[in-house]
Amino acid sequence: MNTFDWVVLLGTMISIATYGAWHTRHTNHLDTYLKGSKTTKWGTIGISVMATQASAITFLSIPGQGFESGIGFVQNYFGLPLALIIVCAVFLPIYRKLGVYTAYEYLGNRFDAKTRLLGAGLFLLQRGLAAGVTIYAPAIILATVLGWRLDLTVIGIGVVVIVYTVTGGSEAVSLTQKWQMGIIFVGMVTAFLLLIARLPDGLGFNEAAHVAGAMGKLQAVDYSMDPEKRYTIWSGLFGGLFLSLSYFGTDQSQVQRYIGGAALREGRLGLMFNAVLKVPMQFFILLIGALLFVFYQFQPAPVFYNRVEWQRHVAGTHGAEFQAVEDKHAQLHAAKSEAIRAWLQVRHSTDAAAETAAREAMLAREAETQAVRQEAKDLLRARDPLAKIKDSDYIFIGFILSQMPHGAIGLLVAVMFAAALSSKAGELNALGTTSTIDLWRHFRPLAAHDERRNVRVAKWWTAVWGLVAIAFALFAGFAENLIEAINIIGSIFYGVVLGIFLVAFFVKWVGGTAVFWAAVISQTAIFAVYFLRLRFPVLDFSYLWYNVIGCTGCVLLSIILQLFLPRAPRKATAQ
Amino acid sequence: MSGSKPESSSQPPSVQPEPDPDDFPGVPGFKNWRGIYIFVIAFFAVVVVLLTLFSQHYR
Repeated sequence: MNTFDWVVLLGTMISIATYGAWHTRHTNHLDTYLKGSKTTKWGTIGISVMATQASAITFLSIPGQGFESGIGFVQNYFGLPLALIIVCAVFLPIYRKLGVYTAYEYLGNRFDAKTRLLGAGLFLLQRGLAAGVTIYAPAIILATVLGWRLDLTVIGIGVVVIVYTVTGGSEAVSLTQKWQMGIIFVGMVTAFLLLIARLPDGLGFNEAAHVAGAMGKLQAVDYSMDPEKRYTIWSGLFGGLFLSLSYFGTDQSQVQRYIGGAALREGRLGLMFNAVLKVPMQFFILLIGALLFVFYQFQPAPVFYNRVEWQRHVAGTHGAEFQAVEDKHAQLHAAKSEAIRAWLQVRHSTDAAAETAAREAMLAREAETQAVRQEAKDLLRARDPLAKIKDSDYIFIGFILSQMPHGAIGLLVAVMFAAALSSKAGELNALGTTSTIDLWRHFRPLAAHDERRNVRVAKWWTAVWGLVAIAFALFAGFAENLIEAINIIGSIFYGVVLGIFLVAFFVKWVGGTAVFWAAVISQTAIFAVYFLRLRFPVLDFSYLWYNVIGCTGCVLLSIILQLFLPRAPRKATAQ
Repeated sequence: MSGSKPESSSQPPSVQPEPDPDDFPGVPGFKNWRGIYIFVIAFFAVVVVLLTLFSQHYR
């Protein structure tokens, strides 16, 4: 990065944060601080919902996912449109009619105080645990490739987001997210266009896509019923619906984004904006990864994309071994490039046999290079058990730094920071709000009437959670696969929380005591499954199933327990 | 029972319930939210079909 890149990076990030903090510095009304401005329109809400979900890891990891495994990951989002329709039709009108600040406040209204505290507590535990990961994940990658100090990168991201989130609350979060998403859109389109421009002469988008497709990277939809397959349309529709309903309907970091606004219409249209755009957007990011794969087929490609980690070992005591693997990969990679060029030459010929032979040769070379890449990872792990062998997160950022012109580098690094700040801000805002409304006000009910004091407390809680996230990111040792770590933490809690809300909305005759104990039992069962999975192989199934088990367990147990409990008098709800 | 009931001028005019403003999405071409939801599902179905065709074209 040169001076121009630094100007672009710091100019965009600091100006957006300063604008957000300055514009909302007089926010003293609790409603505005926690729900945002009453004049917020659907466009801002829609972008805010999108920005909260799209973290820096989305833009660092997903192109890497497209590079490694192809674009089939897009199917994970297939349940999202239907989930957002359900949230629009059922969840949002009730939240707005009751005028709640948090989703868990609704649980108190529908059931009782203990169920509300349980819902809020599960959210705080889950988001609090994930808060450190979401700040650490982009920081470790950016610090590694840019040669920055990890602790300063973590502190830098954390302090900036704390300043404007504490100052302006939800209004500042929505305001800054709008501009940050603008930077992200411009940056990603720039990356796409520059990537196309960097492809070899004669290889436009169409030919590049044919290469990616022939190498198995453009299988977007898989109708297979094989349960062994990780991404299929069925797992996406079913599992995605489940996850999206939990996330958008019950996670305060999302609920807070859409319950404010000028009218119910604005929240609904904001969610529908996401229902329409999310799948195409994820497809676009994955497509960049698939095209990046094609780009590297015609360039000298590294055997391991985390170059800092690799070079450290090349320079170490076993450097010769690492260099030998690198050389072997370079030879095979050159042979593969030739095989791809040969296939491109016969692709349009009428000789089907020649085309098939060239395609098979190309795929054989690809399998050989993949085997050497695995050999490199095995060597890393053998020589250094603590080495980080997952390198796909470094592919896109490596391309940006090595292939893009100055200015664009600053813009794309700004994309990563904008995404980190926007998702972090939504998270801190929600943690601060839930702590204030569902915990502090619950234990100090008389303080609820002092609006300014409530705003002060919400600001303190937001700052505290920001500092907790920074401390967690600085001192905790995280799993290598950070996205998976976040997903596992989420899946452990999401199912039960969704179960509580589904009972609240759809099983009207079940009361608070039944759903509370059903949730406690279900959550304990999920914890037991998670911690006993290594001892009992039968419990070692995909963590995505925790959502299903937690939710169905909570709903069924609530119904069963209610059969043995006296019917509680119906509490007033919005329905 | 068929036949139309004769209108009586002595009866008070029937009062139509006030339409709920939340039922109108305020989007040109859509009278209610159900239409928006159907549009979103139809759009999603088209996206899946296009992605399937894309996968088949580039294979």
